[in-house]
Amino acid sequence: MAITTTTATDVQPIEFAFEEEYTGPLELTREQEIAYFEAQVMKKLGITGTEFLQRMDDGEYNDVYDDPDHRDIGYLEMLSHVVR
Amino acid sequence: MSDRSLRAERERYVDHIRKSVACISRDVLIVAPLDGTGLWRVRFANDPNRLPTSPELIFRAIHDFRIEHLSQLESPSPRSVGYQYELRDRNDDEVFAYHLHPTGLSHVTTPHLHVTGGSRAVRLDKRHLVTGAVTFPDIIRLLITEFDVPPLRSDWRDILESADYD
Repeated sequence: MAITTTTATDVQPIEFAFEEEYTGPLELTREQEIAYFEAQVMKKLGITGTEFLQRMDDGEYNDVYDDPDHRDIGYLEMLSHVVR
Repeated sequence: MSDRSLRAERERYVDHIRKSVACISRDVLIVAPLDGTGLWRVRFANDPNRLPTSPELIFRAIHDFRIEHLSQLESPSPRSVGYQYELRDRNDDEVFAYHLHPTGLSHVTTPHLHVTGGSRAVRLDKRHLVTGAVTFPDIIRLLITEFDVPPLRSDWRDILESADYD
């Protein structure tokens, strides 16, 4: 099955510092959210977003999706909704 | 229904979530569109996210929603499309995980809870314990009242009560 993703290699994820005084929500663009997805996949699994989607489609994560020790997979899967 | 009214309702909804979150966290709240059809996401900017008044707890929250207009007679209203509210302890062991993922890898597509514990014969952490849909304010209230997370605001009860939305 072909994977259709929107890449955002030219958009860098934004790093946020914890704020002493909370002011309000920050609205990102879809491209920035895609960049966050890509950065989180690389940070948590060491692979690209495209490779993560391919592995997910191949069923590689089916057995661990509901495992409490692998909740990051579910988090990344939910983040991936921004690209498909 | 105009884009302006949908946007106003979305901003109002997100503001309720922002105020709820501010009861326990100083992390930045992110709002982002997921597609061109009105699907939006709210999440913490940082993951994992340690709570400032309970740094031994790790809280993850991500929530997808859309603003729907069901009829000409009704005002637009938010509808949860999916969420993950997860709490882990200082040892990175899971305490609870409230999930709604209508799409994805799991065969369970309705709101449910994973909780660590159970009997010697039956583990619960991989079971899907049925729940109704839960909201950001629900979880913030749960953290304060049941997990002893000290609130950052003294008026947290009023804020959460006014933020009960879904």
